Amino acid sequence: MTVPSNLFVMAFRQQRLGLMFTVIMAIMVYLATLAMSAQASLSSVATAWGHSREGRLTIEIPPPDEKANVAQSERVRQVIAALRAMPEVGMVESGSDAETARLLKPWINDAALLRSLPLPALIDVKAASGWTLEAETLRKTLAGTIENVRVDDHADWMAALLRLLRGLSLIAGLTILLAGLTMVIAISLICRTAMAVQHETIELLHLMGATDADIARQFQHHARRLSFPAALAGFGLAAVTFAVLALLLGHFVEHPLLSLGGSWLRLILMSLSVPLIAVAGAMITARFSVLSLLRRLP
Amino acid sequence: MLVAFNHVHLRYGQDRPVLTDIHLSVAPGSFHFLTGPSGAGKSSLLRLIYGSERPSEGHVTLFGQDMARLHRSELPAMRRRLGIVFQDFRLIPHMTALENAALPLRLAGAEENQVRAHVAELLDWVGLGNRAQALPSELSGGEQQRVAIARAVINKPRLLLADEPTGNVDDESALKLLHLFLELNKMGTAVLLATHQQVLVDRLGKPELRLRQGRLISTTVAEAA
Repeated sequence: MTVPSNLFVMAFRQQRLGLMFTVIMAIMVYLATLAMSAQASLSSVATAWGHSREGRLTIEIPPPDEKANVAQSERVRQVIAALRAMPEVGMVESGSDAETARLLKPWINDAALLRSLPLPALIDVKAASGWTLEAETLRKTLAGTIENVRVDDHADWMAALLRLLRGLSLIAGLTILLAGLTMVIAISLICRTAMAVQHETIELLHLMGATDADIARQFQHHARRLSFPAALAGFGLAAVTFAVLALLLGHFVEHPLLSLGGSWLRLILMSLSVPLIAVAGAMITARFSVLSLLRRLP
Repeated sequence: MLVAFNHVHLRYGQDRPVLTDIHLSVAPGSFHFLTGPSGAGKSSLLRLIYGSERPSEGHVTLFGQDMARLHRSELPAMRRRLGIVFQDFRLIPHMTALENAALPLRLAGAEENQVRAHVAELLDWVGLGNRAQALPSELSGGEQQRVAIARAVINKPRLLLADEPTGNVDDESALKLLHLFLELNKMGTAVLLATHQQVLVDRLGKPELRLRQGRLISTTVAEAA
């Protein structure tokens, strides 16, 4: 059986139910897309950070005091040699002066001043494959080579930062869930109101032999018609917002640690899923809320 | 029998019974008036036939099937064999006369060319061939009821139920409508027409089922056409 497609047009026009449906849908898709983008970005960044700093330590060699008769370059060479002798050390990379200058540039943008400052030398160490690098072991080994060597284990501050990122990601996920739930409740209420407005038409259709499924299908089609442009509008607005945010945060996003790298495609695909899931959700909600009400009729 | 009531009672909660011990039958091709003052239970009796109410006691049988045993999912198929006309027409306001009359056929999934041809023919029969594209708001009460009749009979029902079909139209239109019902009846459709307008009943001289305070006080057995 086919119920003519324009049968419940008036139900959604009356009381501006169609407009309400569209606006609520667009807002929810906007919020969910933003939250989904944030969630995907945060997850990617957290994963990238975790991987990039996994099994890595930084050795900080303070500049020699005036009484010392060993040059800083010699101290660095000695530390590198000691590190390379350790089986658990896989990669040793000494930071250049240029790299130090780059890191300090936001605070000291004066090359001459930088050169005159007693800056420590930094050595990045990565564990050999299959080995674990313990900061304490390194500290003890290097203590016999050079005095005052500091071993910076990134795990502590990274763990705190990762916890924060994961917490934010969880909040974003919760926002998606709440947006979805709000949409389901709103659509259900709008459909119920539309049914109340058109209860005589519904009774008439029943008396003509229409089944509950025929009537529910009509509401489902209306939900699709209304939700599709609404979802597109919400998604478009979210995309613009995200683009503006990316532009504003460009300085940070360009940093290797904050870069999403190859995750952009995943992010776009995940965000695109929001309007599609929203349209499907709206159709299913409309269908089942109408069916549940119809089943209560005599 | 198309319809059989076997000692049917209907009451809502603890209220006064709406129908008490109704025992009647409607034969194929018959024409019955269902009469009685407002509140006598005419509409409730019709609602029992088309399955919008279930009896508190007794059995209602439609096309040989006990309505109480009918599952909700079986009702649509049963109702497609009925035609129903209401006092307030119940036309869909944003649909044209043609679209309103075509609704049952479209619900039944008929081909569009068949729908158009059949509806146009039926609108001609009710005298509205030239008003097919008019909206209900552009039609008089009598014209709207004729569209409703066209809609009710488009599926060639075996039984037509009419609940005060002439209640909202003038006397002249009422007579025209009654003639339509008579013509339908001559074509083999059984008609059960509820009305409180005794003058119409007297004029046609058809069998009458008279209700008073929910009781059937006079029955004339219908003859098959």
